[in-house]
Amino acid sequence: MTPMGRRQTPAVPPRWAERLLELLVAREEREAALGDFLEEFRGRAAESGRRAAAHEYWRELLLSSPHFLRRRFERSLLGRGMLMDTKSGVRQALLGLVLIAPALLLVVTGVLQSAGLLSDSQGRSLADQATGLLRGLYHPAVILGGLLLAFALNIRPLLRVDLKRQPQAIVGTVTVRGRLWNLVSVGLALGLLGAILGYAFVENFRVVPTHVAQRNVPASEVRAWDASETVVLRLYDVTSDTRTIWVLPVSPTPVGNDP
Amino acid sequence: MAGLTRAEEFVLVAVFELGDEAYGVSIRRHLARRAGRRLSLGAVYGSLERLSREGYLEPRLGAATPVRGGRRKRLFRLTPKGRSALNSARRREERLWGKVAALRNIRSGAR
Repeated sequence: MTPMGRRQTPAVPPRWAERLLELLVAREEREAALGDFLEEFRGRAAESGRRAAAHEYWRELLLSSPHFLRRRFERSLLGRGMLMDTKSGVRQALLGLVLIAPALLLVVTGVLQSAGLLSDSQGRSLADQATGLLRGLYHPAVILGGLLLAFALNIRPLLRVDLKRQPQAIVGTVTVRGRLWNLVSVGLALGLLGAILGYAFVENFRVVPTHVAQRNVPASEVRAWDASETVVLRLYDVTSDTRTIWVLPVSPTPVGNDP
Repeated sequence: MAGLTRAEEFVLVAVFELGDEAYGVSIRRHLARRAGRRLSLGAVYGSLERLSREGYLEPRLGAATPVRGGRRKRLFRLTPKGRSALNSARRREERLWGKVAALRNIRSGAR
């Protein structure tokens, strides 16, 4: 009670800070956390005044928010998946991602070119300008081998197959572990493998008209042949300095000699 | 006791000493008073959460109080595993500080 005999209303914490705290804290911890913060606030307000208490409330909220955010993440499906990852599993997944990288670069470059976000010459220059070891990364054996190795490395921590011999049969149990990093690695490896093999299949089985002519041209001239719009099919082998192209026999001038 | 951080050990001690009144605010105040460690409430919750998950502490909801705006406390108490961990920590500390005490006696000429 105040000296005037009126009932003193309890100090109220900053409204926005309290709202923010409500948002940050997971539902199961909300009641206790809001109560703790309020208790601290009122204790400080009685000692040092409401202004200092409000300042402290905000400070406490900022210092505690990384914990609250981490807890929310841990409770989310994504967080639970990540928490189940073991250190060795994460290492294998990261190694898998390194192995996948050349294929990913190749596919992303191709997709960007197809979407018109990257010019054909820009995309091709990534591979054409690559020399030495870097050029080796674009070799089909490296790309496909990397994908298969990444898949093999990461499928083991993800799946466990147990076979038990019963009197009448052999019973198999497949256990899928919730290891997000390995799952991402396996998913990427399979997706890229599918994309590359699918693309190769479509390109190889494309019907090429019989009247087109096959030519081997230096890599530096391919762009000019493309510009002449007579190229039907181009074999994109970046490990060689020459390219195999199929052109219409009516091709007038290969090197952009437009009138 | 392997795997527990220093802050978690302090929290275990605080929970033990506070008995039935161990919750976020009281544990934080206890740590500031007794160990001189001023942790944020979030940091205290982090330790409490991990200790509960590992089976050292058992959480329960207490009664609502007006000073908390009618909200209940989340109280913690030691489990047998927590008591055992606390005992191990105490024995380890005694072994460690026993050597230091002997050294001090030599230097002060008491030995």
